[in-house]
Amino acid sequence: MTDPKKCSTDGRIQFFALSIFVCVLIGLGLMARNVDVATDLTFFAPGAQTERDAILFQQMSKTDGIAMVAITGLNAPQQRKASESMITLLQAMPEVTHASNGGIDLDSKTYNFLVDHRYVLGPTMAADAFSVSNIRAGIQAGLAQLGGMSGYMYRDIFPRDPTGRMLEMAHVTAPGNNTKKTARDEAGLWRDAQGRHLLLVVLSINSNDIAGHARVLDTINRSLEMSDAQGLSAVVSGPGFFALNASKRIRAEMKMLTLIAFGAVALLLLSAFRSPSVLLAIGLPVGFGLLSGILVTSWIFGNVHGVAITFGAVMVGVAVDYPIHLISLRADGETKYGTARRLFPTMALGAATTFVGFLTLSQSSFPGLAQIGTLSAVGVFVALLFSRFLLPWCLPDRTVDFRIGRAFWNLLGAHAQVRRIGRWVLWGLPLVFIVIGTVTSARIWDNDIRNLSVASKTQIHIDQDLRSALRLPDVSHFLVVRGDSSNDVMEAQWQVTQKLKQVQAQGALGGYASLSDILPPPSAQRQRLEMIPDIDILRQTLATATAGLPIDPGVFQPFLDDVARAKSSGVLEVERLPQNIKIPMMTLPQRSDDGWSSIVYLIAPVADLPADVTNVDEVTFINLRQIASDVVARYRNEGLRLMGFGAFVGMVVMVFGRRGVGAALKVLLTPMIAVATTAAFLVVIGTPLNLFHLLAFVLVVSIGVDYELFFAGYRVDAMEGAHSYNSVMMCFLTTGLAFAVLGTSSLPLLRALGTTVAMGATLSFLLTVLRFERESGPT
Amino acid sequence: MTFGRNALIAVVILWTSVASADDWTIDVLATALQKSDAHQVAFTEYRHISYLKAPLISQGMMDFTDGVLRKDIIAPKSEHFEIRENVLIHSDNDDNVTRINIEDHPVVHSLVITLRSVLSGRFAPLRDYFNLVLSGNRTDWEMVMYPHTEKLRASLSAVTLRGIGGRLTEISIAELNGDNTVIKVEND
Repeated sequence: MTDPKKCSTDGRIQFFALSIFVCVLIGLGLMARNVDVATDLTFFAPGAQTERDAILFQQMSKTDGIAMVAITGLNAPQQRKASESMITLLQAMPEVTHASNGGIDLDSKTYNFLVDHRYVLGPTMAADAFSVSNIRAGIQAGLAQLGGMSGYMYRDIFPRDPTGRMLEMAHVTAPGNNTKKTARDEAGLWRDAQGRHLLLVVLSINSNDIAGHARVLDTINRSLEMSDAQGLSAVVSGPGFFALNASKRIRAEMKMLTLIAFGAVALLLLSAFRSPSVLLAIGLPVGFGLLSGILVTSWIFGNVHGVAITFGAVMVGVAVDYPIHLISLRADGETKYGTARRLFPTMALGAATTFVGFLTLSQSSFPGLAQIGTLSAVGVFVALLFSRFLLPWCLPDRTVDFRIGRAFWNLLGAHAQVRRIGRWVLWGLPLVFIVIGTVTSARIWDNDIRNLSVASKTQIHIDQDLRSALRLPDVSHFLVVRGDSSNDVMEAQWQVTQKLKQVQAQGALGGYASLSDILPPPSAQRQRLEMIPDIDILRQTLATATAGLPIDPGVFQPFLDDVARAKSSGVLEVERLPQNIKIPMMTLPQRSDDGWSSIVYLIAPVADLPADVTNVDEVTFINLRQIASDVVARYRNEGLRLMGFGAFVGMVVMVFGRRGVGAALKVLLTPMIAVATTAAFLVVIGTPLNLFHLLAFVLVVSIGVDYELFFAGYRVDAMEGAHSYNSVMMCFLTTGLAFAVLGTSSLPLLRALGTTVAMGATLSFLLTVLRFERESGPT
Repeated sequence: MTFGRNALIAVVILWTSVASADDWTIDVLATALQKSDAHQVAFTEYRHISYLKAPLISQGMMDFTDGVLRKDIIAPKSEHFEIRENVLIHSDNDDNVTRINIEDHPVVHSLVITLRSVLSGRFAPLRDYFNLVLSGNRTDWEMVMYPHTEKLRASLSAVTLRGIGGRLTEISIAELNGDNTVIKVEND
């Protein structure tokens, strides 16, 4: 009979210990709040193994933001009005460099700079640009323009620009100037064939500034709410909005799924243990493990990525099994510390295989995977130590009483034939799936990075649609031009741009956006300067050209002054450009460790580019999707190698732990069959495997090993055996339930992890339960 | 200086109101223009620019329908302009579209306000920008419009309208820099 006094003392100690641990956990949580949590796309950015990788990751994380907006609903005049008021609100934002609904106006500094240097910058000048006939034609055209409505604006410019060079400059700086023009409405605003008014907003923030993009989106929505016309809506896209939507989606989904999974597991544990304090105690090892993992990872890597924390939390979640074993496997009359001491070698052996798996992944060159590996390895290790030395202080005196589980085992016990068939089916399944997969030539590996993307197909379609409507470059195709100096880069870019013009004329290219159309290389600038005649000769040319026209040649003195200044200024080099020059959709050459580089964006359709464009030393054609696929495949292969090494070390650990190869193989057989069956099943149903499936397999092995180790002592008549069944069953139900909920996610990464682990855990449980029946056999 | 100018305008307005005592008032003129239903007119424009030796002459049609003012120049070079609200839209033959906010260009702004008001017969918008001074009588009238907004006054001297009954015959825009534009309106 239990001493009531002792029970009361134990209860007080448990309560005290629980309170202390919860307080320490909160303290650790507060410490972890100071950890730098990264949320950008650097999760995927490696210490670039190749030059192409570096370009990919630079494009993923550092591109300037743009917002493409389509206003839909109601009629054209109402859309037009909304478009104008949206522009006004957006222009006032510090996040916005320029907002346009019908053309790109340069900021005054850039415009003045281009105008001041118009004889060396901009499109090619005709060889006879300064001939009498050309200047006379220019003056006559200018006089005609002076007589029109725009003449009032033009009359101050005309004396400076009788050749019309300024207008040529303005047209060449608009995005898509090398493509078919964007469709317009009768008021000159962009309006596509679907009847949507379009806006292009060039942002001053880069594409991974999620908060900045949220403010821009808020302004766009607010401007529609403020409009008198109800019924208008806006579709917005751009690289930063993908990240914003992904962030919102991940948060919303994680919140909902965590709530459902937590609620379901809590209900399950409550129904089995009938004590809320058990619930709290079971959460402690995972909590300590996770927070320690975050702190150590942050210390090693300098920061922790949000995605690594999410995945790490899921991985460390396997540690929930330790307290379940401690409670369920406690023998009659045994102290809680005694149980911990007795079970520790088995728990440690299971944890060691998990630890080794994660530790090898921490050596990955994929920083995201390395962080997940580190965080999980530390988490599991700390959770194990906590369960052994501290958890017994706060564990209540409870045993498992789960009727549904008992009923399930009784059902199996009563039907020996079903058990036998079930066993053979489970053993034969992987072979069946492998045969089907081989016959149907099912794809095993998924190299398409888009399948890992959190962007929905609708969102990707909208982006392509808006890009096409606004004639903007498809950011996945571009040329990288390199050189030892900025001048070399501009020279090579100029040459390749001339070839692109020919390819475009042949119809194999929709267009391009090349800075060399605005900033020609020094050699081209020098040629232009040589074309400019001496000022005295030009003065005489003007006198001849204005003969018979209603204007004195002296009026054009500002033109002569500009030309003289251009001649004396010489060529403009990239490094001499003022800092505040900003031309939408174009970037200046950038200096890196190994020289200079610049980008020429290509506008769809991008058919096969000829060899004289791509097979040039200085030029590299970049297809981001292809590079991304290569990177995904490379990381997966590296992950496979590391997992192979981890499996070998895990096997060695198991051989030592079980004191023999045969005993070790017996333990490892179940998780191996579970992994093989799950992998083959996924491939057969058309879900090729990716890096995150591999991560899930590590977890399945860890779970399977745990079931095998703790079910090993099962004898149907023995009390210990019944406890062991209850314990493994509770572990399986909590894991299976949590991952099944995760498997309903619409996010490919979470779905892959959830379904794989849920299926792997189910197979491991069934294989364990059915396999041991064969050896001992229930009576 | 400003006080003197305003005083002069006040005197002129007072004189005008006496001179127009034969019931030919600004409101009557507005009504007459409204009744004339002349939403589309042909014009010949003489643009005098200080640095040109001779005026630039252009011809074409102006039209004000559904809130959109259109100006089609037929000679010397075919061109089409549209003004919607405060935006001047000009398309060239290469499909390049230029959109200009006319509020940034006082002369164009004043011309647009004037044309809209006269062609529609609604003078209320005119009063937002100009002090109106009407002289003459129903058969030969002249309305001088002095800008009273700071922006217009910085570049514009006055806009003068002349006409016969409900028919506008001439618009003259005098700028402070000496340039001026005279538009002769040819009614059917």
